[in-house]
Parts: sequence; structure tokens; C-alpha cells
Amino acid sequence: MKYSDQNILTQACQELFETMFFTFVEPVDPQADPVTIPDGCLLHGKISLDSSLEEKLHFIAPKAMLKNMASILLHNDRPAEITEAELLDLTREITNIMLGKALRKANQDQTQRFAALTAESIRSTRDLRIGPDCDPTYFQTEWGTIMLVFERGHAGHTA
Amino acid sequence: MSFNVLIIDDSFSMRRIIRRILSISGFDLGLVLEAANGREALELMSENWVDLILSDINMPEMDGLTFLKEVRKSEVHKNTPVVIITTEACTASLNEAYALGVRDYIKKPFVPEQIRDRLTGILKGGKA
Repeated sequence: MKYSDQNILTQACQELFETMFFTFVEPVDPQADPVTIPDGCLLHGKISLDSSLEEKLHFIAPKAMLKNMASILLHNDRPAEITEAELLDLTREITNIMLGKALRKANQDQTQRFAALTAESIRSTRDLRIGPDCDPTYFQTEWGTIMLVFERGHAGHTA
Repeated sequence: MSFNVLIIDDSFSMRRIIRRILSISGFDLGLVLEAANGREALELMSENWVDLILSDINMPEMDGLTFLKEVRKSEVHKNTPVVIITTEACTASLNEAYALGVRDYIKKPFVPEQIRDRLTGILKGGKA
């Protein structure tokens, strides 16, 4: 099983949020229950694999969710004090850890190195320029929907 | 006897999480220093005594392995215990870190108890 397999990504995401944030995220089957992510304040983390810069993992989550988690971790429950820089930093770190966890789960951690870790605020998932033929994995949370997308290289379509 | 700890990670969220875990884990801490990469860490170590280093591997400017090689060359700090705390999934990097004498390796994500339990033995072993 490859690290980009949806089952592996689902497990990696669930375990990360349970371990770091004591939060349970429920996977959603988009065929049984179509998913829409409303426009609003979203955070987008992206990481590439060094061995193949055409492969990327995208992590998109509601800003309110990450603000809550950052406040628990960093500021003793004072969300108002969380800065944009802190949220972007936490988004990068979650994306980074998620990919590492997926690689370990798939036993594909022998030689893989990570690169080009970025995070940004976006208003809509339509702002993402992700290549075609990528099946997102969705998770429901009390703050809204998390989306994970594993992207294989499509020249000219990458974010 | 208090211990000075140096946390090295390019994510300030992660540095703060680790600092917080250290503070609630009952260790007798002296200085808790933070650096965003190996170069910053070496600068801090030139001015401060450090009893324990907690370091990431993947960092800009100077990564954890390069930093570790520099530390091992230092007459003052060559025996300072180092624990790697990283997402780094590359086994070759971890093997290199162990060859450079790291005491332990903690994978992210971690729970506070992992940090506390793994560091307790090292800190109880006394100052380097």
C-alpha cells in the first residue's frame, strides 16, 4: 500500500489529530454524502516529496479549527492572542507531520525526504490550483470540513 | 540541580509545545533556549552551557545532522546528550544521527508523556 492511498492518509490524519489535539475527525464518503466546503477562512498547507517534486500533499482546514487548536497548544486557551503567523506555522507543521506519518504507515520511509513546505490563507477551495484526477479525502469536524488531497505531477496545473 | 535545555526546530509552534511539555513535566529546568536552526543553536551554545539538546532534523540554513557534526567537534559540547524530535521519515538520516551519538529519537506527533518519559532517564543520568 502506498502512502498516497486514501486509507493510509485517513489513518494518518485521524491519528495526528487524536494524538496532538485530542480531536476526533470522521472521514466522509463523498459518494454517499456529497461534500461542499463553504467559502470562508481556510488554511492550506502543502508539502512536496524531495525525490519527486511533482508529488504533493495538500491539507486544507477551517481557520477556526486551527485557531482553537493553536490556543490549546500555545496560549492556554486564549484564541484571541493567536497570530496569523502562528496559524500558518502550525498549518505547515501539521502538513509536515501528516506526510511523515503516512510514509511510515506505508513503510515507504527508507529514502523519502520532504521539501517545499508552505502554508497560506485562502478564501475558497476554488483558489487551489491542483491537478486533475486527484481524489480528495474529507473529514468532518465540529469546526467544519478538513480536506486532504494527494497530487501527482501535472505540469502547468500545480499550485 | 537544574538543567539547561536547548530546543531546535524551525517551527515556533513546535518549539513552544515542547517548552510547555518540559515545564509541566516536573523537570528542574534552568534555561530553556530556542533556536530555529543549527546555526542559531551553535550561536546560543557559544554563550550558554547546555545540558540537553532536543533537535529536529529537517531545518533551513543548517539542518540537524550538520549541527550534530559541529557539536561533536566541539571540545566543550561533544558529550552533550542529544534527542532527535522529528517528522523525518528517512531511515538513512536517522541512522546517521545515531552514528553521531544521539541518545534517542521521538517521532512527531508525540504525546507529552513520551517526551517526559524519554527525557527522565537522560536527565536523571546527570549532567554531561
